[in-house]
Amino acid sequence: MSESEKTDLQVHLRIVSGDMAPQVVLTRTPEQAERIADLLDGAHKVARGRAFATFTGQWAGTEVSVLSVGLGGPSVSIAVEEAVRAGARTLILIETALAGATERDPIVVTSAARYDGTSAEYFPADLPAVADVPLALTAREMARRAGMEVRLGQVRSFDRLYGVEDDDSRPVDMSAGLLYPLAASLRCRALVIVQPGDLAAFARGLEGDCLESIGRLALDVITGSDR
Amino acid sequence: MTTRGHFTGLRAEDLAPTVLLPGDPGRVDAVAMSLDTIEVQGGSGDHRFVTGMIDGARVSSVSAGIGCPVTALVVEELADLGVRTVLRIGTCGALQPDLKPGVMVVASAAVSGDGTSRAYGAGADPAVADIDVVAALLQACEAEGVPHVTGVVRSHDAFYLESPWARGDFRDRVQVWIDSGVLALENESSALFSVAALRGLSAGSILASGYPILDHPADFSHGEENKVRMVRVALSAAVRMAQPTIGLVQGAGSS
Repeated sequence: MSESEKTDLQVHLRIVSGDMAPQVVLTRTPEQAERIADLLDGAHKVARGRAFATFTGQWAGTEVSVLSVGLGGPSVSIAVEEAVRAGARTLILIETALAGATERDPIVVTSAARYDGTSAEYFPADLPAVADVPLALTAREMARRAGMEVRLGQVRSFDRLYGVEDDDSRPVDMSAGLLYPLAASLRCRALVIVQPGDLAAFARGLEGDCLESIGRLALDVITGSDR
Repeated sequence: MTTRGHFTGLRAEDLAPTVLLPGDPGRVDAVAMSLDTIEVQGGSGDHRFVTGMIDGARVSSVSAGIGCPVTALVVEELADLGVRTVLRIGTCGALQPDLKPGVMVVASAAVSGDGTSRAYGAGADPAVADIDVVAALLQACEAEGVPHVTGVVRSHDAFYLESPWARGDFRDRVQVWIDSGVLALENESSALFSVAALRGLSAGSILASGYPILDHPADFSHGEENKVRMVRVALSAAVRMAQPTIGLVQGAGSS
């Protein structure tokens, strides 16, 4: 009998039921997840499979997990499916997005135009990708309290970045179009918060002070939304 | 100013003309352990890399992460940085009954079942592997005594729709591919072949098989020793491609 037959071990994330707190902050890379986990009380690494790293700790007395999900629908779909099977219920992804030079402040993503293939495999084309509204409104309020300028807006979720002719000003990401309908179908709540920038910044991903400030916002939202 | 790839952080001088491309960053370390010498090694997140020498040939490995979107991003960068040949190494979900752990699947082409290939204009144009790369892989399998099957793989975006762990019934979804003779399911080859064709690279894929997913639904094992064998075969093929005279069929002349 194989390892995955003996338990409910998730085959990519290498976690079992109960390993994931109901509230989960999602990042792209294990290094980013560890930086966010370092902000938590009592954080410890729960598991690592491929580039999917799971950490759990406490933020304002509430148990929170931090999970790296990679980039793009296929990777994010695997991570979310397995995280939910292991106990996740509220998911906030913090990421970068491609945008024009006039966009400087983080964007709380209220909806996404689905140009990606993964959501097309899962759902009818006309199913809208929309954030959990209370989470989005809480994010706006928590940002205001923290003195952070944010705006609420729509992104387009793409599978391809290089060689794309584009005269549409909406920012581009690679995940929200899949994450929103997938979370809804799993009866979970989801939000994406992105830092806009150019291609080089998008590729580097969240780092430094930006990673920490958006990470703290996500932690405040994900624990504050219960109150 | 030295140009670096945005996602990989690599420079042209960091890379050999032939790159082994796994999805799993851990597999780059497995490649590194098989090299005779290491020239450079590093990376983080989904993108680890190593360049070194094996049997007199300079070879690199760079990991892409899971899925066609990140595969396309990385392959575009590798093309920008002067790479000529990209060889995907990985695992797959077997569809045909003659497949099992220990057998290697060599892709002749891929079903473009993913969004990235469609974004690259895949439609009537098939996503095909480079025939000389396929030949090098077959010769390497034979030289290493490794069982193998050559044919079409299906690249898809949604593991949790077309695997035994899917919430719905995956059997109906995969039956059409089984009936079409498709060997296996995986997540990256179609984008690799599409981007390689666009950018003038040569590409191929060799995948370690598991048990057929309809017969052994809960078993995800491909066998650690089989993955090691796959890396050895891929490196052997890379060495052959770096030394063009080795590819000549015996007695067939040199043109």
